[in-house]
Amino acid sequence: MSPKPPAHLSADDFDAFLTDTASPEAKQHVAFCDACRTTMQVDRVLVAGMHRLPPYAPREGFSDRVMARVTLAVPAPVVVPLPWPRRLLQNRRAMAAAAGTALAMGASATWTLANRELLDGWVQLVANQGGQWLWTSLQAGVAVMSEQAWYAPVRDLLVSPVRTAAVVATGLLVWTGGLVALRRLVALPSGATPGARW
Amino acid sequence: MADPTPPLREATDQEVVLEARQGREAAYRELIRRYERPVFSLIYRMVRNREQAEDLSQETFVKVLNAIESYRPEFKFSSWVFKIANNAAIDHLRRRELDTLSLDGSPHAETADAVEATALQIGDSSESPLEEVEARELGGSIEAGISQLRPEYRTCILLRHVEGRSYEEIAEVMNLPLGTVKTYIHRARNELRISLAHLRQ
Repeated sequence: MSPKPPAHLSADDFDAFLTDTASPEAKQHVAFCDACRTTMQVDRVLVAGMHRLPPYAPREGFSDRVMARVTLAVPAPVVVPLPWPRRLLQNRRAMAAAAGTALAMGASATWTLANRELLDGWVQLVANQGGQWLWTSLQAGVAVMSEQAWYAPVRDLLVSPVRTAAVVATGLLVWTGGLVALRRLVALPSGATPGARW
Repeated sequence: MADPTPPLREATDQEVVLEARQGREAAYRELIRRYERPVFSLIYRMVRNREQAEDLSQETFVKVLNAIESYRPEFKFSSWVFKIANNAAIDHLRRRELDTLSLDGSPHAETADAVEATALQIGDSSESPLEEVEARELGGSIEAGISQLRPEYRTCILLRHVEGRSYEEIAEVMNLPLGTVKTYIHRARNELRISLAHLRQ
């Protein structure tokens, strides 16, 4: 059996030589592998050569030409926020609104404490009337529904548990089918569309 | 009381940007001074035409400085500038056929004065004449090799080995995953190795 050929260095290994961070194994490898040593040396010359490439300069007056087309930023005015009590004192409307609210709240609390029985009566009345109104509405709704032409056939459909189960199953099937169809309709195309550019 | 504003030359990019946001023209000019050469060099090496590189660099700075208030300080300012410069260069390359590289002046210059005016301004070197010739020869070959690379490889290799930017910053500039940036740089170096093989012989 022929010996396995030595694995050459990776691109990352050659990178490491350029920053003097090559591993001891990589250093050992270039000591006996001519191909990798040559690549490493050429890389060093190449990178050193690129570092020495001169920077090019635009013609004189470049910054003037740029500045002629630039609009200087307008500094935003610095606003020092006042502490809130002072801010409130400076605003008469806010002060009046705050005083009015405080007065109304005080009056309301005083009146409530003085007329607790009357308030309880009102609450009782509203609760009774509300319950009665809800019950009447429900009865009227059921009466109206049972008068409809479709009510009798629907009631016949759901007359036994087997029939009910069949109706529910059919409904579920139709719903699932609809969902699948909708998903297919709104899915993005998986392959590239020829001629399309984002 | 001491002036709280640090001298602009010593200030960080973020500090200079804050000054610019206060409407200080000196801060704008400081940002141009810091980045005009790197941006112009990158764009010139991408488009290989001085006139167009000047126009694109100018567009880049106008765009950056007019939008200085929208700059987000959690990103490096240099990444933002290079991103706009690279986008400008790539858009431009898409619009036109590539010209050949000229280090002597614009290929469109018709008079001697125009050639001189458009010649690249390369900084003085402190090397011996022989070293300078060798360096120029190697540099010229590298420039020519870079000019043959695909635009995205070119941006990556220029930012990495000419501008000395980190892989992470390049990924940010090019809006690419880190692994892709590394692959591009490795491939670009492979292609440059091949194109410079004649120098070894």
